[in-house]
Amino acid sequence: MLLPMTSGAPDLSRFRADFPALARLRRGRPPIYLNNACVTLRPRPVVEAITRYYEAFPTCGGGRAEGVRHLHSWFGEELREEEERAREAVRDLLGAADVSEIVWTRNTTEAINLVARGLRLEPGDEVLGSEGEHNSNLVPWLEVQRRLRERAGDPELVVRRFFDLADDGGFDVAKALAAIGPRTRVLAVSHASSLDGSQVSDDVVRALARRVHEVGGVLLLDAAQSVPHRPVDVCALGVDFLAFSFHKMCGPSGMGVLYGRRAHLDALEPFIVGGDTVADTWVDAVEYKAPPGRFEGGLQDYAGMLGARAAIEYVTKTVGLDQVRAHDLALNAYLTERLQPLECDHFWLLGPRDAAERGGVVTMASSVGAIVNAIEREADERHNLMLRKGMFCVNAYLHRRHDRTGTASNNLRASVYLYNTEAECEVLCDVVEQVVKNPLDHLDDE
Amino acid sequence: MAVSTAVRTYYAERIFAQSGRDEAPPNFRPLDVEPTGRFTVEGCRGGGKNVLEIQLTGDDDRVTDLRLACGLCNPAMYACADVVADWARGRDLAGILALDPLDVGNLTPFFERLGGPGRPDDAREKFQYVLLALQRAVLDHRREAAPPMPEIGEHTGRDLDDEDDED
Repeated sequence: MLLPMTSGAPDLSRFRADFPALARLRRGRPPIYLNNACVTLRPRPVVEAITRYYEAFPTCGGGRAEGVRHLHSWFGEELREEEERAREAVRDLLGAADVSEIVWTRNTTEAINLVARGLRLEPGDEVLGSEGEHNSNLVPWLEVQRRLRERAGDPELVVRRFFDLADDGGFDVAKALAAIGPRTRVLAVSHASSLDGSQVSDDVVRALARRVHEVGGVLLLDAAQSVPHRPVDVCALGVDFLAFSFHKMCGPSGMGVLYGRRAHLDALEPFIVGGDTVADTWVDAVEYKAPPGRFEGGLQDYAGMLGARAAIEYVTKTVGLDQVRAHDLALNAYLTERLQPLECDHFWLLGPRDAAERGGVVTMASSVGAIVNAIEREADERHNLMLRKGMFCVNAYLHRRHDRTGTASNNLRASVYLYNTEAECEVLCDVVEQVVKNPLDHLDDE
Repeated sequence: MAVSTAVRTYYAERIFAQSGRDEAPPNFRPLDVEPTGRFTVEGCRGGGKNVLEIQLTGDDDRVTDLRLACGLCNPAMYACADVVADWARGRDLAGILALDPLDVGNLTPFFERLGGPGRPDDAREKFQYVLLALQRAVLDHRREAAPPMPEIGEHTGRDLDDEDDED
């Protein structure tokens, strides 16, 4: 029995019925899903939109050169219209100037790889990020560094540099601005942290954009943890590239977006080339399409595009992003209020103290893995409550900050979304309280 | 499955009591110098990952120091790794490599260091993981190829001495 909301969060419980996964039972209990920073559940309209592709027009939407309609096909034409509407929905979601600035990718990772591989970086150029970037916004740049080192014959060449986060893990704008220099070609930072939910405010993003533009660089925003949770306007922010994934906002797996200002996309080299990326080919030459087509190689995930549009409509119109944001913050305020008093030598929360600076994420850490394992086990086995344990793809930061005390991987993240309730958060807090207050009573051989 | 009394007692006194936000038990603090040998083993049962990394320094004859890093390890892995680290520090390399951890009879000194009661099988399993990993870290130190990790029997949750009685 779910309790009424007391946290001041908007009552979004009516939307729970839209999510088939929430109707499942195990041992007579429904799931409590608090792993939304990884993947959200999907509502029925998204599932139906994906199915509609396979049932209504399961064909190819390509086969048409830029600006030339030589596709005369009932299913094909309908599909092309659906694809265009999906791209328009993303344009509107991000406030982009034109649909040609929206590139379909498989996910945030692929979008950032596209930029990293497509920019014509040279030895001497620098890519700047924080110490706390997700692997998807770290590894592509380290790979660029590896290639440029080989090219320059200099194994010590530094391409990817980092600046420190604040002591509490929050974004330190002064350190970021100070780190931008004349060699900075790319500033690639997270809009919200995958580790602890730390948010970068819109004012800070604008300040970063101004500064990096002054030195002739570009700003890439890893928005995987922000676009699903708050309004984002790429023009107002002044970003040059932005990447996000739909699986974190009720959309399909394997669908993501790279936004790029058209001038930057025009200058970007293609990443994966072949079918549908070209206007024409000859036996010894190729003419690529204009963006975004040149970046979308091979048969595309049309079902995913339909699902993506349905997800955007569901989150922004059926529910409303402002409602989602207010709901996230209210639930996190409740979680934080319950969990912070439990902090001790063996248990603490990561990230800024103020829940409002962490969106919908609360990450618990422990000096010993047994506490983390016990909370996860008891939440799962007794309450079907799902969390995320480990390093959340922010290994580099955790190694740097916590290897000395051996606590780098002893983390447990709870992340809320629009269908979660205060009653569900209460269950988590009760489990944590029981374990943290008497940890040695909860030892198990896991 | 419940943690044995011996592991619980050792863990509470030697691991948990020495762990804190800015403090790890001595054997779980990083080496001050670059290790000369290392090995990582995943002794995974259930939800814990039990990823144990052993880093050591040594010369031609002995292990001069070694430290451990545990990723989401259970109490038995922590306790057994701590026991083995104390045993191995300063020990001659040949002696470490000569030990056959899969022969339970060779584990008696480790059970004694763990403390009683009995010879719990959860400790047997983890002693075997840790000792085999230690041997591979020693081989890494000597720049010798290590054989693949053998299969280690999952613990029964019982005491080895009780099982002997049943025979």
